[in-house]
Amino acid sequence: MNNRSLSWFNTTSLVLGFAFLYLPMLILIIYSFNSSKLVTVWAGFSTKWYGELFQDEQFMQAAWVTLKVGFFSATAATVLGTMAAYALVRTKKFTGRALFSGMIFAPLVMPEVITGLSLLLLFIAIDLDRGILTITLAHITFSMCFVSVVVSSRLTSFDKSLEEAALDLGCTPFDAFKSVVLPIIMPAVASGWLLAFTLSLDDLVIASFTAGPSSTTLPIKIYSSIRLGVSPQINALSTIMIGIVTVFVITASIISKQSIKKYESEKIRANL
Amino acid sequence: MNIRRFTLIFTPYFWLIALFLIPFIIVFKISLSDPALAIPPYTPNFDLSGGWSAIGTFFSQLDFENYEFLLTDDLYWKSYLTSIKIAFFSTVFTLIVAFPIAYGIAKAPLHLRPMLMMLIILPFWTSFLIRVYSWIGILANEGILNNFLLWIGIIDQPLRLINTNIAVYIGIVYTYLPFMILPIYANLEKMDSSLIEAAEDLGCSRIGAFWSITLPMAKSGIVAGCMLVFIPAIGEFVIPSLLGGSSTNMIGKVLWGEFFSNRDWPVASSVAVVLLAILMIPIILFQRHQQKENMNE
Amino acid sequence: MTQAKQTTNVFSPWLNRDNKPLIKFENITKKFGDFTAVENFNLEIYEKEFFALLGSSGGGKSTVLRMLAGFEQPTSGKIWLDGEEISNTPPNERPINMMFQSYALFPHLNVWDNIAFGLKRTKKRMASSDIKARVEEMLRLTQLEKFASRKPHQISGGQRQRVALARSLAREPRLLLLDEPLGALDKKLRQETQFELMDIQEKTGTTFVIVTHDQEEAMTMASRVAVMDNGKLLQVDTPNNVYEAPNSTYVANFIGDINIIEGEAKIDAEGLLSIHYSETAAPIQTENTNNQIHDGQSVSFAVRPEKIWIAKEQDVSLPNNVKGLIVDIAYLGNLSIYHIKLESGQVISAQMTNILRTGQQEFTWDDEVWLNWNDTAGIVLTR
Repeated sequence: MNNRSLSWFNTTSLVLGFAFLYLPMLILIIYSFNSSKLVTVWAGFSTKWYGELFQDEQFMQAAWVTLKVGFFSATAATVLGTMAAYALVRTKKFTGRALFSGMIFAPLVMPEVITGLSLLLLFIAIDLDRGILTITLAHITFSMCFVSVVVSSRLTSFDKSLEEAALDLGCTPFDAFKSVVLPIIMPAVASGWLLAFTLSLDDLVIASFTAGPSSTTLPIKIYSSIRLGVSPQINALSTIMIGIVTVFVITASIISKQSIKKYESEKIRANL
Repeated sequence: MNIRRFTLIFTPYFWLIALFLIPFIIVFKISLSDPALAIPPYTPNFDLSGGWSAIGTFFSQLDFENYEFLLTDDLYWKSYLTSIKIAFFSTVFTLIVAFPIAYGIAKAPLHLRPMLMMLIILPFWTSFLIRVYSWIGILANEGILNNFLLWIGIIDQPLRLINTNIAVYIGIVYTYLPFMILPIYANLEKMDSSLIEAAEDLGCSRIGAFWSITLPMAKSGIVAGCMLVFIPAIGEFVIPSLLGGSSTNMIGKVLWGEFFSNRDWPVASSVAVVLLAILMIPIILFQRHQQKENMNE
Repeated sequence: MTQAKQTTNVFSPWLNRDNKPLIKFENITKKFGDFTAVENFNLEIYEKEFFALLGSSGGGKSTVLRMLAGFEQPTSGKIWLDGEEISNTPPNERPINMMFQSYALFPHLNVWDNIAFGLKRTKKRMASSDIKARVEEMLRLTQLEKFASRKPHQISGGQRQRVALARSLAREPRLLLLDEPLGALDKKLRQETQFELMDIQEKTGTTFVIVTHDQEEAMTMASRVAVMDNGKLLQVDTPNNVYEAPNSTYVANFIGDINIIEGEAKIDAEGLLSIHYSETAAPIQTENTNNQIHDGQSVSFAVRPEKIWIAKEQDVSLPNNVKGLIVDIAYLGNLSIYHIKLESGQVISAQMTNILRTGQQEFTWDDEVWLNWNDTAGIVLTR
């Protein structure tokens, strides 16, 4: 819009808004260093909850299961979601296209309880033992739709003549996808993977339906401990998770910011 | 159609049919069955070995009893109403909180905007469960908020916040805020500032220009944001179960309880089918809206 | 002078019936749903031609180009290349390359790799030393040696245009298609690039087919111009003929400025043609070049502004003299365009070169002037 400094109204709404977003998490982090078991009473600085957390076999086991499920489901969902996006953006007509695009769209807004219940009933109907495999299958199914949305928004803005140029220069359609389309949409595919990975790490409801007794994920474990109220161990775990995400997101944004800056300055230089 | 294109389209297509569509058909079928003390805990079971007559009996045993049950037992229809009510009001509250933030960011200096947007999205990448959890410590009877209010002397008795609908509203507004801010910001940011200047030039006051230019231009972002909050909020499970009380019967919680505690699969399935039927209307409206937006671009 | 003109002008393969065309469109029709983009299109293009498809946007010229490239298949009809039917050959199997309007340079590859892209995908695998030699040759041809390792966003618009050209020429196509190749450049660069393109076409001996909506561009570069409108081919001829002898009012209007006066043709006993356009004014005397015209037919008389002479006096040595009033003058520097209202009501535009640098122009607003032109100045059109 313009570079006028912010009015007091805008400044106030931003300050209040960000306070609302970040204060709860900040409090969580502060109290994770509280030596008291009573969460609301400050009794001095301590890192003992972190120590306890790392010695808790169950938490470590759950974290490992969650990471495995997250990695495999995100990878498979990225492949399937990219295929779906490419098929939907590039093929305007085929039998059942409406059903296909509907099924890609629906899981985005579908309540997790329904998705979880229906997948569980399917796994029971085909007699598939519940465990890491079933959670992974469930996560692939809903996160591929998110990947597909991310990738197709990139593909719709993709200059189609780049693909035609590749065909014109002797590529087969598959070669054109591999050597022109994929390298260009790679950032979108990568952020699709990250989104799928995060969704998988985050999911409680669908995992609860589709998990077996031996395959407790971290959110299931967290949920069962916080149902009874605040626990300092969970505070410590939350702090670690928030820390990892923050470092990750900030690094990613700095990298992309630098590459954008470099790109812009090169562009300016080229046109001088 | 060559083999490559066929593979490209039909791999994800069949995946979704097998793991999205067919599960719903199973849910629908079980919703027509009767509960039974067996494994699986419902009857009849589909069995092809009995031939055509068995299929005939199979279908004759399906009925709408569970749906009648949902209608007669007021726990269920009240839960649907509660869910819709809570989703509706939390959508309104989210909009009220989100709009000034989105507007503030859109008005912020250009070089600050990406950073501010990153700060809005950052919480979204952290665990949903943890974000809900962070409010338990704040809203508890001896929680931080009550302690603070007691300390400054506004109240002399702790407020009952946790396990109430108020806590659910706060939880939904807090966790869904980025979904509302993002589309509204996207619309406001695209807006040409000369439109406001033109309106003021043509005699609008600042507030008048906001009502007659900014707000209508942000309409499609507001609609998208409201849908993104309203639809998932109806079926929300985590927030009412952690922050809500025993009286906060949102339908997601009821379905969960029906399945895990009562082990009544047929009723759980029919609850899901009805919930889906209710959601179909906003989902279809939303998809139409999104398609129209994409067309306009 | 005349000698030189003749030797350069011998390139006209379309005049010799023994010559086999490189490209032949045979009754091509292309429909998109209910919309007919190209209708019953017949055209022959010869080896080494610089052929321009000219028309307003949506006229079907891009569809013709895309059918040549292989991105669209004709709904009916056949396309031949060197006597071989290619109507349904996929684009990667045609010895035809295209330079895209957006240039379509691969943003993730540098200039060198962009040019080498097609060479790495030839039917017979090229040795890497041959690829290297060919890329370097193309870089030299387009004067891009210094930019070989730059990415497309690191070079200017004009350089990008040359990369696109080098990339599409690298595979030595039988036919090069250029879709609005100069559309993204500013005016000054466009004029320079026109001559560059002609130079490169001559050096490589490649057949060029260019699509453009800019008539000046087509006139400057092309050996022949095809004018299209509404999916139909209106006229195919040399730039000179299209300008001086348009076959329809559409073509006449599309290329350059022209005055069109509608009237009724009268042919007298000696076979002389005159056009009656007003009850009060004298009929227009004009050469009868079109033998199809019969007495009493309604026709359009078309005459270019520069072929009308404005004078204070009637010039009786010329067969056509009309009196009028100057209503408008557009001063363009080298010349001025005058709009003159005739007594019969028509407004005619006429051009005069501004020979004198100083002093007043000879004519001004509301001057009463005479318009004089010869009987060979205009052309009679029947459609």
